[in-house]
Amino acid sequence: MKILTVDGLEALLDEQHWETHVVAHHPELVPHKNLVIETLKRPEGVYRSKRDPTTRIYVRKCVGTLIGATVVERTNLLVFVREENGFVVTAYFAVAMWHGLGERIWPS
Amino acid sequence: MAFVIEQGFEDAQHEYDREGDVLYISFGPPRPAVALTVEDWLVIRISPSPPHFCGFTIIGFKKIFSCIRPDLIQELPERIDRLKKARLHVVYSDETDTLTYRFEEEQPSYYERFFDNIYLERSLVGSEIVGFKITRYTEQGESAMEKLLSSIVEALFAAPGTAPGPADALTRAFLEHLDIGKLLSVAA
Repeated sequence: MKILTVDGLEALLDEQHWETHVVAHHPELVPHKNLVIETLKRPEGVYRSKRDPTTRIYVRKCVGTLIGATVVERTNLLVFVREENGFVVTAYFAVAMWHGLGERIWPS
Repeated sequence: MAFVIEQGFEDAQHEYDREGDVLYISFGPPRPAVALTVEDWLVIRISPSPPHFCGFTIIGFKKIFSCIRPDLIQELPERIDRLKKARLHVVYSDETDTLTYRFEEEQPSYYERFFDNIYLERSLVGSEIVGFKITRYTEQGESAMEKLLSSIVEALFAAPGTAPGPADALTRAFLEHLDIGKLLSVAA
């Protein structure tokens, strides 16, 4: 599945990779695939990874997110996309970020 | 409230996603979790109910570690095997409001101040780092943990030629035991 991101990247959400790697290890994402797509299209911000500037991170605030059987009041969904080919690497819901993200590239 | 945490890692499992360059480590089968993000590439996974440290994720594993610690990539299976044999021992005392963390058997040792309310425990023989303690834990435990993790990350990414300091020794000690995992479990 290809998704045009808010900053003009053509992101590739590979179905097989999504199932066998991303949700296999982050199963809380199973019911939230549409939210991942929405985050790529309409994030609150896009950042470069601090240690790997070729990876973009799409961030969206989420309220009342179902994580397993628990509703977590406030989280941020982070979706990692490789810049060179738009490959969606992984995603997770963060409740705390001790170090900020890298440079914000959208909105600039 | 005083507590003692003893946790084994015998059920540690890992999978490296070559296509995404992501290392997933979990303790037991993967379960729904939220993330505590040390930096965007280094994620501690906590299952919210019941609270449980269930693993961590490293994004860009080979890209990042091939520059700073290529030995960790080569030795990954051995490191995971070592982690399976490791035990976490954490004690919090109400009386002293101190969290003590040890990753070696108790032995003659001394403390040296690392930063404000953080002390490194060193063995009398060899001065190896065998643990640490955080005082004033109720008020400053979270910021102390952040400081420890930040120091490790900064030491990992220090510019070549930077003079080694206590943070490097701490980082080396943790990596020797694959202790990022154990340290992260304290943060949980």
